[in-house]
Amino acid sequence: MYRTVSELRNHELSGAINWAVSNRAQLEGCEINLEFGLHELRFLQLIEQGQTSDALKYAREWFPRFAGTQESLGAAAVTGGNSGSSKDSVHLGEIQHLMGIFIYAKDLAQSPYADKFDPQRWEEGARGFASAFCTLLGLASESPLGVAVGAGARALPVVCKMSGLMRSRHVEWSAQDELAVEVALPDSMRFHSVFACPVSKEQATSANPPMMMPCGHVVCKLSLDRLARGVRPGAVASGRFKCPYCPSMSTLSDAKRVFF
Amino acid sequence: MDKINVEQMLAIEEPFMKVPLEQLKRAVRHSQKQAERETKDMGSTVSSLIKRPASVEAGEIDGALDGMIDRLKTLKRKLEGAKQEEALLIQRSKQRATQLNELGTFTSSAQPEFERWCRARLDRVLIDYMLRSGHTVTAQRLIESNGLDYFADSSLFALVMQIERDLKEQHVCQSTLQWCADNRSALRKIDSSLEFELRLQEYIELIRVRSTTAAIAYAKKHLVPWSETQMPRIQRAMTLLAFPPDTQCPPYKTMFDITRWDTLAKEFRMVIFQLHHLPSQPLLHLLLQTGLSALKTPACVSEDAAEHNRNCPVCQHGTLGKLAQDLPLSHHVNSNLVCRITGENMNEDNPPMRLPNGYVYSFRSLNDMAAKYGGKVKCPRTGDVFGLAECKKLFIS
Repeated sequence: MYRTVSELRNHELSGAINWAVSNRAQLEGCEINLEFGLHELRFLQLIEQGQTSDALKYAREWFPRFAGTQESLGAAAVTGGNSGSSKDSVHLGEIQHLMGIFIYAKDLAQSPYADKFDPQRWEEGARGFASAFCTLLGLASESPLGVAVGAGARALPVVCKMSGLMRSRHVEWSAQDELAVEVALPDSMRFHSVFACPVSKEQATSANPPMMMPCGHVVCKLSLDRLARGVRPGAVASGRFKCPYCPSMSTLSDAKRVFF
Repeated sequence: MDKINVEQMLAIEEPFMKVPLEQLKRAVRHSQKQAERETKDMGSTVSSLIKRPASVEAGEIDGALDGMIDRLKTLKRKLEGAKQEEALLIQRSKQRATQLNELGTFTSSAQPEFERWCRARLDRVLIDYMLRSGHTVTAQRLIESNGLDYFADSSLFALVMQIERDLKEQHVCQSTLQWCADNRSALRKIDSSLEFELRLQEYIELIRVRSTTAAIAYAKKHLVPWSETQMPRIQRAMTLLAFPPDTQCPPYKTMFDITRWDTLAKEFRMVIFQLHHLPSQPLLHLLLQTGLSALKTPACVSEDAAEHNRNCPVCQHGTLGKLAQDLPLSHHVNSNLVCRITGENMNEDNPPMRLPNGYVYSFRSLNDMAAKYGGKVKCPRTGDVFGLAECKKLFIS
């Protein structure tokens, strides 16, 4: 992998393209759009080097696969009934956009396509390749150290602030097996489902799992029991109760277990 | 969640900016003092020359003037050198400030430029860790390959390494005492007794080789100035004269102990980091601890391997997961659901759907599956097959 990545960094695409083609089925299974990206890089490389006829030949050879059928290059509609047609039409738009480059082939710096020739694209291509390679090997697609440090950079200021506040208010950190404050993480750092009951704000555990009421709202089991028992303590837990979020009624036995 | 909280991100970058600025302050102060000293001397020489009686020979005055010119030339040379050093430090501070300013230009954490900035930050954190642990060669290679020369405090750590080596291996206090002399006022401000400890150690070494007269002379010269604050210890040190190096008597045995050198080295490291506003622990440790804790969920530590996500750092049980073992779990007051099939977030745009067997997946993934398999969906965890219509939308509010 490192060999191919350093080749990519030196603007040499053949190794990467060969790998992408030979692993095409697996990549498509994982919904990774690596192959088209590599072909696009090669196409832009040929244009940059001024070999416009070669670029056109290359486009004719490789792009049709991503546009649906042979005739649809440059055309509006996708006529072929291939599976995953929604994906292909995304690439079709990109292909149409790229074909317009030929008009500006003589003067790329001034054209609307100037940003396509950003020198960082090679580094990003190398990273995309490494990520796809690792995913197919069953490894993490992004460096775990990078993700952990990124999460830490968001968490550390929050934790520091919290500990400062706790110290000034002479509060002790009670539940020591959990952080005392929530850290906002972006979606890219969310790897597991976390369910916090909207009623009790506690996290669901195997002892206190999430339960779905017939109306579709989900609360944790303890909150459900409390609702079923009603406001009067000691009341029998078989009565009907109203969902806290909508007017529908349900009973304890109607509630079903949910597995996230 | 894609927004970047610039203020929070900058909170951990304080040492990054403070170190070159401190060094700059110190260099400026040093060259200022030098210049002041020299000009004062010049001034007094000139005034003494003026006041001299007329009987003094012209040759003497010439000689004095020549001496003054030489001294001024030396001063000029020194100041020029200092100016270059300051220019370098200013350049370094500017580069770092630019790097941090870049944070303000990013609008979303999904931008590739932000990801590049984060990778640069990871490099910086790793270089700091490597320099602290003494892996200078590796750190140097990383600095060179990524052009991070301005962002690494290699000279500071080189000094730390050298002094520590002198203390731990050579058992010599000379360089450390020189450093203490240069930073005396700063050490006094933080009430550090490092210099006293060093002097005490040298005294102990003199006793170890039984040169008692030298030891007493040394104590008179160097330990007495500390008598206000350290009298009990000085008294004990004087008593040490009566004991041989292989004594078994507890308090005096510990004074002869070789591991005192290691303690001295540690004390030095703590003090120099404090003076330069560096955290005592490497930033990498702090970030990993908080990051892994914020990522850790009960699913990561569950026995069931199906709960593990190979992209999650805490689920990497051989490496980071081991570090995360004793860390607390993350705290959440809001739900955040992740589809097992696609890894996408399940929210109003892509709502969670519950299959009749209780397992939940995202709307989009179930739709795609049904499109491929003619309206049927199969639960990846249990293998049960159901119709798409049997799935119920969930509301998590």
